[in-house]
Amino acid sequence: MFLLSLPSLSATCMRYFRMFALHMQDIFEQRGRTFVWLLISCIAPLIMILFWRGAKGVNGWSFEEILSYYLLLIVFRAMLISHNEERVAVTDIQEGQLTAYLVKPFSYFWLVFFQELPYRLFQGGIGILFLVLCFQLLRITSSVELFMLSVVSIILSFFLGFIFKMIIGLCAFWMTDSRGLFEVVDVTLVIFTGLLMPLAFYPQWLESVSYFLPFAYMLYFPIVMVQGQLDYVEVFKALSMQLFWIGLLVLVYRLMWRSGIRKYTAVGQ
Amino acid sequence: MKEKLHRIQVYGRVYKTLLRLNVTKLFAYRANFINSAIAHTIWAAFGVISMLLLTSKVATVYGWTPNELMLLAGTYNLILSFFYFFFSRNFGDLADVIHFGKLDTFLLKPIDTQFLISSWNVGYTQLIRFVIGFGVVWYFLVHMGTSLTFVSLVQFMLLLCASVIILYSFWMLVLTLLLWFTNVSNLVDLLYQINGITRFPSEIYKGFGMILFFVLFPLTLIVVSPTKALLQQMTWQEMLVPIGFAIGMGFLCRRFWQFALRFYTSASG
Repeated sequence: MFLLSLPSLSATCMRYFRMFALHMQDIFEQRGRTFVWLLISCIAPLIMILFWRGAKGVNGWSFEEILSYYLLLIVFRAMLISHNEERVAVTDIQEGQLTAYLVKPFSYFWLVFFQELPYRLFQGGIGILFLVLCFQLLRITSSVELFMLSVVSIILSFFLGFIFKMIIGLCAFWMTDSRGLFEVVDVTLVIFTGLLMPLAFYPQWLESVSYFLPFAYMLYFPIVMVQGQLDYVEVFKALSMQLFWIGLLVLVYRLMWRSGIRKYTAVGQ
Repeated sequence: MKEKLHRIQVYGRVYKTLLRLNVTKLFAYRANFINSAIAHTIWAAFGVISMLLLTSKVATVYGWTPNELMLLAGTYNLILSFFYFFFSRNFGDLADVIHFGKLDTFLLKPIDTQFLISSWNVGYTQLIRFVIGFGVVWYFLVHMGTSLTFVSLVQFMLLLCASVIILYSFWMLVLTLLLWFTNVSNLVDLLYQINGITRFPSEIYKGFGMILFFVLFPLTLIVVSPTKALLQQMTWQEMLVPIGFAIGMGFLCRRFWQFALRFYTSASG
């Protein structure tokens, strides 16, 4: 599923590239919707910036650091948080579209990946333009090595978030209606990825809990790494945790796919 | 006058029938009901938990104490429960109703279209949000030692009605744009995000840009005004502002809807 055989590698890459290009066209066809999604990812962090501007007695972080955190959050959220779970669960599994993909010579995992990637790249690209415009307000690490390690962490966090959302989508094999689960996932992500506020602001016990879970490594750690708030030891610890969670989630995904596909039924003419 | 009274009676009977039909729907689609109940419980709890976390390490925010901010979070849940109970599900469907030309069915009925598209669905599961909001308001009023007087209760009820009307009018004004931009179905998601603006003190938007402040001003009144009434910090003169906005925005959204309907081109548009 994840490993492609070498002789057909070039042809397979071309197929996936075409899929990628096709979905890139969708983005431009739905300009209005794409613009509204961008606005949506800006609103909550902007409100939070205004909230912290008037907060008295915040420990540890200066307002400039908080401002930089939320500006980076707007971009990283648009770039790293995938929204593939609903398509996998509702369109593909519950409505039976999956049948069409099963008979094609593609890996379903990579197919969804290349459907999702254009959206993340496009929104991330606009986000980076936005960051360039407000560069003066950003607090970014001055160490080139740490910055390069942050880029690695950003790529890993994208994979981590994507695989997690795939797993959530696959739950539809066993559930008739997954909306309740999606809501639970949304709230969990808002609290534990640092979307609400930096995890360092949480009470000690909750901060410790969130460092054990995979969610902090999807958004929070890449941001604080870029900001230069972590030393080398903490950076390598975070990268190891990302690799550990990716490995574990890939295993879970493969198990769920194997047993789910046996349960899957679709009807049609 | 007599005819107007008769019309009100007719609309009352129609709404009663819609309420009954929605109860039937509730029991016919039990899985959907359970999922909605779970989702609304989670989001209502999140509104409270997120404010608890935000205020856990701050002394004051724009002069509001953590307890007052929690009261704000409770009132936010209370007001949203009314708005979501009566309207939000209908707004959620409006994009599809317009995009697929289903609005024809509503236009052909011998009843006001705006009334029908706003009241077709009733969100009974929002009663959970009401209970959570009521519980939080009650707890923090007792915790802060604030006793409710008859005057503050009347003020609160009046402001609650005004808030629901402002929220309804704002959503209706924005969603009427769908008659021109039928593809932008995620406008509703944007409005859900904008609702989040209302749960913070209005002071946070001051100094951020006068234009933005004046656009957001009616929204900032929605939760803050009833909360101030509960805290007995609201005079009758101050109440005229949200009530005035409710009347003005209600009138404006009605006129805008009627104007926009002229541009509806059904499924061929």
